[in-house]
Amino acid sequence: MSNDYNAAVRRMLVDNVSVRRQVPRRALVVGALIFAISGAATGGAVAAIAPGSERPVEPYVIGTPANDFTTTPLDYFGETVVRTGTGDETFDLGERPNGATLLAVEFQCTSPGEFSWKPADFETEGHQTYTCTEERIAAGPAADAARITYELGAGSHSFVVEAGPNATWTLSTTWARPRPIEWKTNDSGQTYGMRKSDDTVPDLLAQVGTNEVGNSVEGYLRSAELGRPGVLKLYASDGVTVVGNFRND
Amino acid sequence: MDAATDASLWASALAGDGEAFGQIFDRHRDRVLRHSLRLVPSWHDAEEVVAVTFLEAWRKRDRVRFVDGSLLPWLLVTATNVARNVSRGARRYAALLEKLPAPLASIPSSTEGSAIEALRVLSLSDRQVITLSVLEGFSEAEIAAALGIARGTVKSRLSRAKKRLASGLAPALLERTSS
Repeated sequence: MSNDYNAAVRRMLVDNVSVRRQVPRRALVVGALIFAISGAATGGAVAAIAPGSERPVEPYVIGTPANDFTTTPLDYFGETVVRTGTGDETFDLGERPNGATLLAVEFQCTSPGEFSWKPADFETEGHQTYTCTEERIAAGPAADAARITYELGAGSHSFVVEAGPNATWTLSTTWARPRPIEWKTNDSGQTYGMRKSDDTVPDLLAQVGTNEVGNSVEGYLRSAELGRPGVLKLYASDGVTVVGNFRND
Repeated sequence: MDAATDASLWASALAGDGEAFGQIFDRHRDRVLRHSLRLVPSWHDAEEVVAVTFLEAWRKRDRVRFVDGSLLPWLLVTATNVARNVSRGARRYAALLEKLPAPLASIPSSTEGSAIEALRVLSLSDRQVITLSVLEGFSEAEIAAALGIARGTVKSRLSRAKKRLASGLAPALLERTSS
């Protein structure tokens, strides 16, 4: 390194440290405990005001409401950590809690730009990219946050966000695990719900099919009919009312 | 030799002691420069990588990692990140960097300067373990601590990265990895 340049860099660094800016550069807001492990069935909200940020961060919702038709209902662990950042950041997620297998992530841009993010130990397949427009921001986080879960091994993890130099964003992370499937019982004593991880099915298995005008409809298949190829009837949870069809190919 | 660890100097810097940060810079700038020269095509770029790396260290001051009290592994990791996109790093600090005198112009880069070409076939995470292991000679445990990942992960990334380099895309680097 040339001496002048070297000395100038050193001076710049020393000055930069000595004249510490009072504005917090980063806001790390730890939200309240939003879900116990056996917690609420649907998502919860964390209201967070980031210290030093110019605008309050709106309440964030982690996870979409779960019902019989969403793929993986989740149980959440511990705290939702809401981070606001500008440009590139890599940060620690800490140790995966015992029992958790997933990291639920919700990303929201707060200025226009190109964004991408992933756990540091994921390769490109975990890379999410997100183009943020003014319209997208105006729509608000609840309307258009990007949500994704990552399966992470035991141990410590970190997370990488890449963004333009002045692009601002908010990222919420919560450790989670798939919630064990529970079935409900209708008035006729039939169980209904999703297929369990051990592959057992209730009397009425949740399925999305089509109604008579071709729109998608949520209903239940009779498990006794599951092995039959062709078009099956889709019932309401009473097991009697027909709501649509499902093509069993 | 000054016995203060980087970690204790860092604590002083956090308390507003700019000179403590200067000492960390004095201690590691040559090593970071040497590392950067392997990763970017010109001396000019490498000097910029050094400046941006230390600025990044300060920006991320509450998240830096010390390995056995040393900031060096973390600085090298950061330099690898910065080298990947020098212009982006420089843009972030444009206001500060433009006040500096021009870096020494166009000294031909070292023979190792094109390592970055070979490393382009690797993802950033694989590139990190390869540069720390092969180019800098850190142990798996030290790399794991610097990157904040499990030692097993370091091992598997290293093995994957070596396989990828062995695919014929980077024979020069491969020779070094097999040593």
